[in-house]
Amino acid sequence: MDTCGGTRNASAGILFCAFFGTLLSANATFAELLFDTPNLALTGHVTSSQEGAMEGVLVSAQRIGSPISVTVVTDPAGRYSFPVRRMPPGHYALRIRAVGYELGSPPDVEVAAKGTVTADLALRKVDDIASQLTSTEWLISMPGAAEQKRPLIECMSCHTLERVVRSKFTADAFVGVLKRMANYANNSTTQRVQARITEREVPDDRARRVAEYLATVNLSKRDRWDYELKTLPRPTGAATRIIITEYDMPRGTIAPHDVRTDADGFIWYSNFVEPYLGRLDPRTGAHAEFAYTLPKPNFPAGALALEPDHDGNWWLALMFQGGLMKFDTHTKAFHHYPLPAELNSDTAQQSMVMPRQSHVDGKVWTNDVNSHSILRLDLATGAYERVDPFQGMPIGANRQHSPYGMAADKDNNLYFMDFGDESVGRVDAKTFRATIYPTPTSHSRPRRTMLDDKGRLWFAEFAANKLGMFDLDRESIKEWDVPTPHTYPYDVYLDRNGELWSGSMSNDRVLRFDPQTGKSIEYLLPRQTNIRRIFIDNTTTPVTFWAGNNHHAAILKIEPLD
Amino acid sequence: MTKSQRASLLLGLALALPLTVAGMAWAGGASLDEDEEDQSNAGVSFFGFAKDLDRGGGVADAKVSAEIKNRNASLVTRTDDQGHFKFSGFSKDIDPKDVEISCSKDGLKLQRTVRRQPPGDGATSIEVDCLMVKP
Repeated sequence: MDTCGGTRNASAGILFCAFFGTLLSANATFAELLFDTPNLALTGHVTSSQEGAMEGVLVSAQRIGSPISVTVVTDPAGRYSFPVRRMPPGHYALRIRAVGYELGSPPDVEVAAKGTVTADLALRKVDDIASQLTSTEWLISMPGAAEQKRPLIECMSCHTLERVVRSKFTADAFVGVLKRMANYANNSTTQRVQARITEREVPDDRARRVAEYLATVNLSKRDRWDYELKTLPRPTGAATRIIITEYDMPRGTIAPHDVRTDADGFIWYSNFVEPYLGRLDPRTGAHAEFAYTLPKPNFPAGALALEPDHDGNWWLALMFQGGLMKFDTHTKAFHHYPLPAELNSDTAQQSMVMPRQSHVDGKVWTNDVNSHSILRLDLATGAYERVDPFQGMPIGANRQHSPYGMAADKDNNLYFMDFGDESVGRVDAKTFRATIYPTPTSHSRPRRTMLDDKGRLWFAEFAANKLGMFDLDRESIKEWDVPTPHTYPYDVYLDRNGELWSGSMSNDRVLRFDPQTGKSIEYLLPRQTNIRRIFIDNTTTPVTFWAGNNHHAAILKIEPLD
Repeated sequence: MTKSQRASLLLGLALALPLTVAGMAWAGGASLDEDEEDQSNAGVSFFGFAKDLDRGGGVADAKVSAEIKNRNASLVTRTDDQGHFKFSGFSKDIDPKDVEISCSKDGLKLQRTVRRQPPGDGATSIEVDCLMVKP
């Protein structure tokens, strides 16, 4: 590799420029490259003997010692290009993602202050494609009925399904494994496993039913899977026109869950497994953590929801630590709002918090997963009120209602998702009157939500593989299928252009979806990425997508090029 | 399968086997057996049609509310293209008499509801039709 304009390696440069010039005459695409070249730090072509030029290959570059990696995607001619402004001078390691392929010997490149480096990448077929499959691809590949596969979507909270299908557990052994898993806290990762304080009983027959299925799709009876391993197609067209930036966290145990930007351009995130509020400066990659004291030191650590209040202070839902934590962005001090003793059991769990309209009436909404109820904090007194919006309400088979994703309107009335079952709910702030709106699709398990400025509540239907919209005025729900089966969307966000963005824990893809036209783009991500809460920064042009990689200690930024 | 499709299949079926244990939860909190059709925890369900008495036929996209007396709560759905709606089984502790069904739709008003309940105390579903007319 070399630069056409540089002098570091003259012979290689001449060879490349001769090659480039030949191609230039034959392909108009390369004319664009020529014009772009002064603005490019690194470019090249990706080929394989099987396909020739390869479109939709993700090429990632990470400067040695830097926590930041940048990824671009090859165009129909197999060309990739890193702009100068994304690649300061230095020594870079390259990696690729193209299912079924690998880089023979990953090259390092030296990017200088001036000139364009060229590195053509020749890919070869992998011997074992299994290690490249996403959980979605495993679910597509596995034999079995939908209801047999359905329980596996819970596994992805902590790990991919590769762990399941590579295991050699027999059905008998799997029963024990499943019972053990049920006693891990929700906020567990393979990096940091946290046990629940209170054991959960698992009926043998139920565990056995799942175990017997799992033993038919893993390696307990065979050395290789006897079913075809199916993969999703590589990106094409618009799906290749992005720049992805990943910011590695300083510790592998950090599990970014909810991610939000502030008015100063910082990225804030909740750490799902450790007692810190995290902050990233995306301009420099600088990372800061703000530690809080664990109210219950022997209980699983970490927070799930992160939401700002009207004044820009951050609120954390403390999961098994009980209650809510407010971070004052001016004083950098935390204030804990503990649950009262009668609610603060060993199984109390606050996963959500909604303080956005607390300036209206001095109240902050949260939930208690354990009692399937909604709580409301009075900021003046620190007291919590409990609301059970589901008293007497219908419930799907073997389910429990479970208030989850939350939004509040201008009067601080609460809208929430019934993640345990299939409804959108509303609680009136003044009367606590509850109204429940079942989704058209049964067992949809709506998860996270956002309220737009037109009075529309957008939400992800986790189990239904759909996105939904609840119109507050019409009190009606509309649904859209996501394009890829077994996506299991976790969250959705409407951008200023009226497009929806969504991410999931299963397919290493980010969905961009136009609900008006039904057109969608799926952006493949460079690495295994477990996405939870997502955020769209509408102040940039085009808009910018942000999310955490919950299992791999990174913050993810996607900038579409159009 | 949509709710109305499912409703058609389930209509008239008796309640399923008793639920002997609470749903087992994974680390993520969901049940292992979430797609099983064990409905023993469910009480009476309601279904019916919103009908346009002036034009005949069903009223699509009408808002249907099920009000539970003394519970400070209601359930709201909308009719499908045929004017059909369904509320799956309320909790067993809800007396069906305490559930009041009403319908609304722009350009129409509810004249009355007609409730058809099978005789005896063992009803698993109750039909309620909303009869609507021009205001």
